[in-house]
Amino acid sequence: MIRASSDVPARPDAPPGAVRRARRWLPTVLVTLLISVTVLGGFVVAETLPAPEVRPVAIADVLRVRPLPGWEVVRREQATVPLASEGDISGEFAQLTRGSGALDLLALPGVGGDALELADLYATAVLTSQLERLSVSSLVDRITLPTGTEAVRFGYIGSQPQTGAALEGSVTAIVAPSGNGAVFDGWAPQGQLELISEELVAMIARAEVV
Amino acid sequence: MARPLSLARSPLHHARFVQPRLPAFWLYTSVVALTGVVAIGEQNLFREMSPSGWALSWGLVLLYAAPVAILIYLLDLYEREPIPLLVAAFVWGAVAATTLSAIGNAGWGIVVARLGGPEFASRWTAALTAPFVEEILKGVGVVLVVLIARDEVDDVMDGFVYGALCGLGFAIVEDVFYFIAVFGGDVEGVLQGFFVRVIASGLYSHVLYTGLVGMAIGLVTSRRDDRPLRDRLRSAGLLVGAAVFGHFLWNSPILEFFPPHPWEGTEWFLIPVATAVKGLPLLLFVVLAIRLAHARERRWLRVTLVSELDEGSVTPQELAILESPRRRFQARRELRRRAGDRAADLLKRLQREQVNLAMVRSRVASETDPALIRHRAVCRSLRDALEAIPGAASAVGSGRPGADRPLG
Repeated sequence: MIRASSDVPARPDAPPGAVRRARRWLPTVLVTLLISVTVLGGFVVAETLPAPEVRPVAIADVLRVRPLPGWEVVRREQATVPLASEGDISGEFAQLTRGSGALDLLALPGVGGDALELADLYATAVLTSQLERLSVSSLVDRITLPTGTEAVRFGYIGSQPQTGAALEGSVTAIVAPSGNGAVFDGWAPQGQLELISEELVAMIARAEVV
Repeated sequence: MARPLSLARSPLHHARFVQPRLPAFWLYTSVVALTGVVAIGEQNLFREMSPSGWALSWGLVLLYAAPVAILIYLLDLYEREPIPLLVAAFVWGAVAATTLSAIGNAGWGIVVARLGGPEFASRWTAALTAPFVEEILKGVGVVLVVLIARDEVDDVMDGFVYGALCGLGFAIVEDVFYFIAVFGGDVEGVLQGFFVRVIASGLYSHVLYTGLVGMAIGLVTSRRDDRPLRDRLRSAGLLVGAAVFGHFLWNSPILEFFPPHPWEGTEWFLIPVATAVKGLPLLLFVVLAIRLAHARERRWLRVTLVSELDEGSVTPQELAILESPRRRFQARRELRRRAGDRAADLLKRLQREQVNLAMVRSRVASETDPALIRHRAVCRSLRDALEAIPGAASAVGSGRPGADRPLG
């Protein structure tokens, strides 16, 4: 079976076999465009979609957070955290999400102590009860927020018991001079925390703990 | 004794991967280099988190990947693809497609969340983003191989081989990620992950999805299909649609029969059942598609070489044997027994050059093309050399041109 050549002669009077130079760039440019649209298109399209109007969120009269566009409150409930010694402490919990990640907020009026103790309490009393295969970073960063508030920050990875999905998160704990405490737990599926980390940092930086 | 012609391999075959004059080559290498930095960083992180689990993970996935890669390679019955190009497809899947998909899935995940709300997004994002994002980005790897070595992708099975290897690369990197990040990364967790993702689910993974996408690309770029492009695009669309739908079903909450986590006792036996419910239909579809593709290749070989019978480059008996890899192997084994290794090796080369002749014939525009004439001469001279070996003549000479033997 002899096929007719699909190559177009360079000129009508060209000898057999002399073909037009292949267009090498066009397919490569189209492939580049396809990669770009597939990888980055979602972010561009998301920018064009209306983000739900989100008002500042006040939690337990202790914590006030201004969610960035696209973030919304999906859970809000009273919370009780068991203390290492005895008894427990009550507060309020709220969860902000943007779909691909979340920021859990825990306000604990009158928790006392310092930020490091609050971070330790959150890791041992909350994260260990919520996640399997929890691994918490051995180093804790002491940071100062733009508002001048001292805070500590640590990272963790773990998996959700129900689905087995891996999560990674970054916890920021603050204890105000009044003794009120607040915990910001930004988390996302493994590998995706970095994609929302800037927004998490921005919301934490603008938060007020009284 | 007649000597076979010295044959430089046709430039139509075994194209190099490194082709600096092609923009597609530079796009491939740039993307793999950039994403490679991210991929290596991730593997370093996993290694630091759990050195033994990380090493075990790679050992296990390579144990699984090696036979699968060989099987994929052997599925191409007539013209095995060049190893450098196969490696290129595999590396694209393992490095570029995985890294780019993580970013793409996140971006389109935001779109799903904004359109459907967080509750909907938590259940459906994986099903609505990954099948499209990942199949496009893996398929791009096959397209780049086509652009780099256009002459190597002749038809559907070639596309399947490149696509399946690209999917295999993607699957093993994703498996390592899951073993460490989802199943905990310790030895027990890695073994659990291996059971769930490889033993129970390994047959239904990215190898199938991207194999189908590769088939579609092979169909569109086929040199052997005389159907109009529109018809081929329609068939290719069906193949891609099947791949995307299979991936969607796998990621979706539909037909979810997994026992609730954590799994204990007999629940582990339910996992292969749960994965089979979602994956088996697509596996059967792919097996059918491969059988059809093999039949298509056999048909192409027969139609192409039948017109060579009068030229003496192939005999009816040889053609009947040539169509079946099993018969080719049996013929060589029989000849080895009767006439020795050299005769069997010559027969192997004759068979390979006859398949190459079919390739050349379907690519040239004229009966008098020098490449075609040269290949005919090579086949004839190889047979002459073979017949000169004592004991081999009766095996290969009985079907000389003009003997008019049935095709068997």
